[in-house]
Amino acid sequence: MLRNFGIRTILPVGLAITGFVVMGCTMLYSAIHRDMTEEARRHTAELADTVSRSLRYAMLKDDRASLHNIIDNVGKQELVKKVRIYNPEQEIVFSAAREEIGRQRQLEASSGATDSNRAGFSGSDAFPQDASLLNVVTPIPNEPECLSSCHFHDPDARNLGFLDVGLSREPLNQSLDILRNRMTTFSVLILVLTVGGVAILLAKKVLAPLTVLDELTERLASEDSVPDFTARVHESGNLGYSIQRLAMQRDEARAELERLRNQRTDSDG
Amino acid sequence: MMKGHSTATKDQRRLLKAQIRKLEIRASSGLWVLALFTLISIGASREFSFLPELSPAARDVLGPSPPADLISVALVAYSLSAIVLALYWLMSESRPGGSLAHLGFLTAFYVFYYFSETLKENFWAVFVAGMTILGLKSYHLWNYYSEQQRIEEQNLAALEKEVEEG
Repeated sequence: MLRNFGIRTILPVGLAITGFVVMGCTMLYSAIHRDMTEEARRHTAELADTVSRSLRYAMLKDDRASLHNIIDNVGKQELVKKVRIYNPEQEIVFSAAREEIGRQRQLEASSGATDSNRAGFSGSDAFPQDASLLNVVTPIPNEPECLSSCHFHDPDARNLGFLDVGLSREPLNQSLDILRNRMTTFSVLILVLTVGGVAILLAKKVLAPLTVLDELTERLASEDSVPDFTARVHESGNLGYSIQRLAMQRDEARAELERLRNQRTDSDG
Repeated sequence: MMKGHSTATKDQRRLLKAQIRKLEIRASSGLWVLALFTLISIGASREFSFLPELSPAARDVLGPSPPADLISVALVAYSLSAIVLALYWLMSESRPGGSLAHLGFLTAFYVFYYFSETLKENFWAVFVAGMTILGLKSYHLWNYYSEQQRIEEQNLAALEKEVEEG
């Protein structure tokens, strides 16, 4: 089957188009995936910043009840899966999940996870158990007001703690799944159109006339009679007509040869 | 003289059979390159975790990695030109070149993406591009050498028919 002229013509073109379209769609999907994930992370960072600003006054007044209340309310949001504050010693001091309070935060030695002094760094890689979350860790900086409030912190401390917010990736994943399905459908349609269109065009306009000519020449080579003339439609029709004329001339030459041979036999006899 | 003729014919047959075997091997040589690329891709899918990490000093020597977008543009340009050229050489029925250069280029793309820490997102793009380009090259190899093999087999059949009739 692979030696068939039609297959040999269509297969490489089909493979090339399919490969290039799939590669292009894969790259496009990766780029959109990256952009949407960055957008989701930016949104999470903005939320974390909003929560941080909401907590600031309560922190200055050391109003722990208000702090717990704010964190509990933020934690009740459907998409918010994790809200907690931990101190520079990595101990969790406030959390929407009360059972975490007092525990040590697990640190990963992967890229970015130890550099928690960077504002708004996205630590989703640092929490392997939270792979389904978009994490943002925001530092709570030591401000001059902290030294003059009702409690005080070490003036040399750069950060007083860190706010850790984790949002569910489910809406993002759902959007990406829908996008992937739509792109796959579009790619399949494009491939059917291009590869199918090219195959049909080749089959109808090139391969079919070639097959007819192939059969014609085979018959002319094997039989003595000339079949009916083909219609002179396009180049393939002209070619068939010329081949048949050649066959006629061949038959006339043969007849003439036979006649001369008979004549000679008669004259010798 | 008859004996000499018989020996010459035997030599010719042996040569033709050896040539046919050589053409058979060349026709399937593209599959080895495809298999090698698949192996490299398996390693890339695991982000080459089985290889030792580069030391910071080595990374400093290499310098910063190129931006991932630039690597992607280079991949698209390379794939397009490689596919067009492969189709051109295939359709012109010329003697096929080797695929090892393409294997080297594709591995380089894996390495570039690895150093720019975006290999996971761009793995499938490189894999599909590689399978397309190497698939076309393998098909070209198979097509060309199996055609040559067919011609030699016809020559061998004609020679054997001549021997039988002689």
